[in-house]
Amino acid sequence: MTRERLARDDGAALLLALVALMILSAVGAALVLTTTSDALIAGAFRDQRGAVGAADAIVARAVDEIASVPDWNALLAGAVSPALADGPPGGTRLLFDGSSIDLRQVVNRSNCQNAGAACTTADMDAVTDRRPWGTANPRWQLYAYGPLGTVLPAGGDEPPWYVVLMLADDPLRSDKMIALRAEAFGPRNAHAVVEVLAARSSVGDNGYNGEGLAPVSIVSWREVR
Amino acid sequence: MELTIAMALTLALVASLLELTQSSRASSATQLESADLRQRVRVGVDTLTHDIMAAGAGSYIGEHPGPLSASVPAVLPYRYVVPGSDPPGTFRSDAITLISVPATAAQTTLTADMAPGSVTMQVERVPMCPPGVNLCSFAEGTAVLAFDESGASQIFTVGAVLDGPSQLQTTAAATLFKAGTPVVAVEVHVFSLKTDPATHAAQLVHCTPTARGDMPVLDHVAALIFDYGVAAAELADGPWRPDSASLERWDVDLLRIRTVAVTIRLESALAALRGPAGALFANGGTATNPRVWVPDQEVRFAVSPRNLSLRR
Repeated sequence: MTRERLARDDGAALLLALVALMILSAVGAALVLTTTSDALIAGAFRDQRGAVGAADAIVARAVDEIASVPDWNALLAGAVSPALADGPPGGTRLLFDGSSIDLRQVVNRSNCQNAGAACTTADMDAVTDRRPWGTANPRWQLYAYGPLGTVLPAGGDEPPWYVVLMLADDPLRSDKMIALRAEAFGPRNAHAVVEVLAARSSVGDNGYNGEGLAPVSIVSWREVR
Repeated sequence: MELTIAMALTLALVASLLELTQSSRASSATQLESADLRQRVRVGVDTLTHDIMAAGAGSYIGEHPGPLSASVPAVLPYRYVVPGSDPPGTFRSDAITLISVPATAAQTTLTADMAPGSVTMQVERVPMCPPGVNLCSFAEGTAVLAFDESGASQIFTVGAVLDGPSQLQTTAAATLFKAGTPVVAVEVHVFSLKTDPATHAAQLVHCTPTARGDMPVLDHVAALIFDYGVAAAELADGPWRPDSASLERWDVDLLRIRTVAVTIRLESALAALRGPAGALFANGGTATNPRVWVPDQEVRFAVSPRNLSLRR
């Protein structure tokens, strides 16, 4: 490189412009990142709360449905057809955001936290924080499954939730109680689980204001996390 | 020549960059704080919603399985059964106690009367325990609720589990609990506003019967208000269950609670981002330039505990 060539200032403007551009880009990118990440967090939060609402909705729908079934053992034996079933009780289902779930894996995860092979009796009897009843742990089985929108009144926006409702016997194996587990799957991996224990109201039971109770009452409603 | 033009352009650019830096400094401080404020709002909403929705989850044991609210209130407008508890008959708009039965096998009934002052519960074997074990799901430190249909209720802490004789050693009974009374493990969540007397900064704190003290959930809470849809006076004026002399009495109007509306107002943690006290700021700060103000965020939301609904 010659001294003459070093003395020339060709290209200096380009260099300065590039440096300025980089600084401005960095500042802009930082602001965009802050704003978009906050929007993403807010969206995920909204979807998660929506998933709980969707799971609760299918529970409410199922409670109405099972109230008209005189023998809940028939439900557990699979002898009653649900109003919501979008195909055979197994296989893959496509969600609204393009992702998919496998119904058999959903059931296996509920029964033994293992999505792969079928759960063994020992797996299902294992005492855990979520399944503390040992041999009386629920054996979840599919009851209703499909897009939530198909059981809602027509009109309005299509809710982006795929819901699965499972049934199992209660820990006391009573004929008057039944356990329900609802799962809702939605956009951006939103997923909520609600477990409910429902009981038939006894004849003569009254509410606080003396009114008769619904044929099925909720013993416990819990969101599982 | 080209260098001269470039220098002139650079000077102009640097000047504009300096201005941009000033505004971006303010913007970056306020944006980060605003994002943090919104995140704290989300944490508060999520934490309270989750526990309020579960309040009243009941037990499958006993003659009439059902939600807790069939026998005792599950939502109390005061601190209950934790350090710094309020006396019965208190109404506080900035405190709430939520009681529910978790997913647990620790559900049984008394097989003998438990007299006032007694610390021994003689209980039925838990049906799903393995052979040879009576009380598999109870443990030292578990909070258990005994309640009957007269409205008598008390939350005990288990001190020891005597599996052979099927007994629980607990804190002392305040009243008589007859044989057949359900005894179930419970979760108790107490949320309240705690103000530091020195700094006047307030926190949303959480406490449980087995905790050693309050745990902070949210910092810099400017206001916290719980509203139950029932006039405050009606929740603390009787009639009382089980009776007006009981140390564990509660107002029967608490059973009317069907929804809890929560108002939370959060403020910036930095006084340098808070302006003068007024509509935008509950507690004034030191900022005079509105460009660096991060106004308080207030949200109001209502939650209907699913277990308190009469009909489903």
